[in-house]
Amino acid sequence: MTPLSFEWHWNADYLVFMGLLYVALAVIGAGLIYTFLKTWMDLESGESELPPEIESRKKYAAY
Amino acid sequence: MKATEGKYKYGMVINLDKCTGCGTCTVACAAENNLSVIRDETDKQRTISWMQLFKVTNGKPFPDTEVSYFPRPCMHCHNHTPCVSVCPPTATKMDYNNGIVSQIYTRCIGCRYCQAACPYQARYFNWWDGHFPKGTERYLSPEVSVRMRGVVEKCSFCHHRLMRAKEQAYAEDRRELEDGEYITACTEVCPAEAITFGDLNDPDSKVAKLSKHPQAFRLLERIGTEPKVYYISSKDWVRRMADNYHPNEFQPV
Amino acid sequence: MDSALFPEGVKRCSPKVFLLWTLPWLALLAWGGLSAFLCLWKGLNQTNMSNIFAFAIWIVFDLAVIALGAGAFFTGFLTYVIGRKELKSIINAAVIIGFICYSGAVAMLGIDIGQPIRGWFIFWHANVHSMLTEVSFCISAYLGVLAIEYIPIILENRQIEKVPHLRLFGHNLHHIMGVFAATGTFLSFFHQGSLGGMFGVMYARPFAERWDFYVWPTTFFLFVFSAIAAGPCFTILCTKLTEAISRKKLVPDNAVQFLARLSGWLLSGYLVLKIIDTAVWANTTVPNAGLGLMDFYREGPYGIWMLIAEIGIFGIVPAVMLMIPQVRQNPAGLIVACLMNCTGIVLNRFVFIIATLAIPVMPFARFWSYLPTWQEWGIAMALVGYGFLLFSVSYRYLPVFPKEQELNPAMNG
Repeated sequence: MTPLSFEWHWNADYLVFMGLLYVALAVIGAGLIYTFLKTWMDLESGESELPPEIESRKKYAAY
Repeated sequence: MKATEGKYKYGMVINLDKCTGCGTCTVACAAENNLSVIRDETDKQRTISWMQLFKVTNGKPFPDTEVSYFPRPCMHCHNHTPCVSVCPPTATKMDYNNGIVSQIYTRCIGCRYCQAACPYQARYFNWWDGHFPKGTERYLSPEVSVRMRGVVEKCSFCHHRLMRAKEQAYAEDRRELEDGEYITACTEVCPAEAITFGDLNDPDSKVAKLSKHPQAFRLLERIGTEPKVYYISSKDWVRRMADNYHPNEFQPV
Repeated sequence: MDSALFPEGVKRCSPKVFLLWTLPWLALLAWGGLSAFLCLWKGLNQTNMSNIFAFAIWIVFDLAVIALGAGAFFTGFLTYVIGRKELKSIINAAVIIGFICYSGAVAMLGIDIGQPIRGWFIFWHANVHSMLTEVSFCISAYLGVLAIEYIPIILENRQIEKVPHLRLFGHNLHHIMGVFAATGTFLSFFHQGSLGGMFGVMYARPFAERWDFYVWPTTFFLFVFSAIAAGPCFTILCTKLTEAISRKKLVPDNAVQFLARLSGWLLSGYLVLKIIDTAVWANTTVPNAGLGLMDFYREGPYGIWMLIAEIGIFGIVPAVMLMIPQVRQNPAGLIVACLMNCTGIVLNRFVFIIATLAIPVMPFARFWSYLPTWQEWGIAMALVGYGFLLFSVSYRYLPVFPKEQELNPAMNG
């Protein structure tokens, strides 16, 4: 449902509910886009030659 | 979700003193609204009957046994309609202008949350595709759509009859419907004339007057659903059957 | 044969043994597949659901696995947002269990609705006042989050990791996992809650109705609370089961003990609220509806034992067990306490679904009983089969337990 849907009402119920949903989806989407872009830029800058060790794995030795 | 009062508020009064439990209302409703039969009609948990008859007795042994019937259509609850507020795809709505709770079959996804929320067991799910034994399909009413499997349906207060009455009034250049011009099929057929239907907001209508009868009551009134279907019974034990009471709480009229 | 796919430095059974192990789960899946086909092809008349039991075993399973799968969001929250480092040794398992529970539940819901092809109407024609709308939105979005959390684990497979693009992608995804975990926590909080809210808002059914706190009935908060109390225990149970079957230690005790202790405290907190809620309900809502507490427990098998079992036997007992260090450090004590905790929460969901519908509201309405058909059991059991299968495959080929190698030095091979 979007504000363009015929059932949409411009009241707090709809704004809060759909607003929060779209914010959550936007955060997830932005996170994914960021990851794709970062991966693409890292590959462009040639870092792909020596893929780094996954951070979390390194940390396991630390505790 | 607050009920904003519309101009009309259609409702029903059923006089249980007059009701003989003949079941004509149930049959007429089924015929009027194209209710499908299922192959095994003894499966009472899954049959569809918008107007269902509940038989009650006073529980006393013969010769003091008394019997009464509760014909139960959809109550078209006026306050925070339990099924309307829970329906996720907005497939059921109350029209505040006439108080009728509608069901949009092509919108219903069949999650059955409305059935769970309705305390009157007034909602029915189509467990099978519509089935009309050979020949009966010729008697289907063109004014009411048949339902597909997997959707919920319920009494619509014969909404198509309201449409028909409005069209008639429009053709006759009238703005208002006369009392009794729009009545449901069950009201029309009841041989005992136990059912009265009309606009509860019109103080002069028969139904509005009857609804204020001292012996008038509604089903499960104390949970606050504000049904638009009233019953009248002169018997205390019948009125007591309509709701849950603590011991010694029920006040006979 | 497939050893090139195993995580580095760990031992796995032979392909033949693994195939044998998967057979019962594949059989359950086949049973479920047949049932699902029948239900989709012929309709829900294949079940024993009825106009009285509009919700039945599938919804019980749904709510149960979603409550038990709460270990994923809560462990994710503790690991990535709060920063409990010891939980990194169990977070992968928690995420996979969560993914299994949620994807299974969504698949089941797809069969449970009468018109699955119209499922998207919930999103497009949303009634924002319906708790079920909130549930659908949050579960779908959270399933996406779980998939995102699962992807880096898949990309850590020894062969996949050799592809630089994928490794880098997994690495970057892992890097911002906190963002996803936080969003997941938000979504999960609201749908665990709205699953409870679904029942609390049914104000016309006094057995389920609860008073409102702001816009949500108390069941909203109780369901969140009970889910985060039971979820970690289910994660522990799954881990312990994997350890028993693989005959290896996979997770250090500090992680398990932390979750167990936390579960114990959360469960006791939940129980305090649940008891208050039940007392308030029994003294306000119930008498207002003209009923007494015992009126609900008169018919069929749904006696007062449900309340005693839910709050007492499978509530207070495991809560006390988990809070006593000596008991939860004892392997048998831990398992029993976790099992009882999960049983109590599943019983709570069962009561809210089945007992609510079974107890008639109109005084003259009769009591009906319900037993599931083999098709209903098939779909419910397919969820179990799917869970075992996906977890087994993940365990075999992915570094689910990062400490496995370190904890089993002698087994390297």
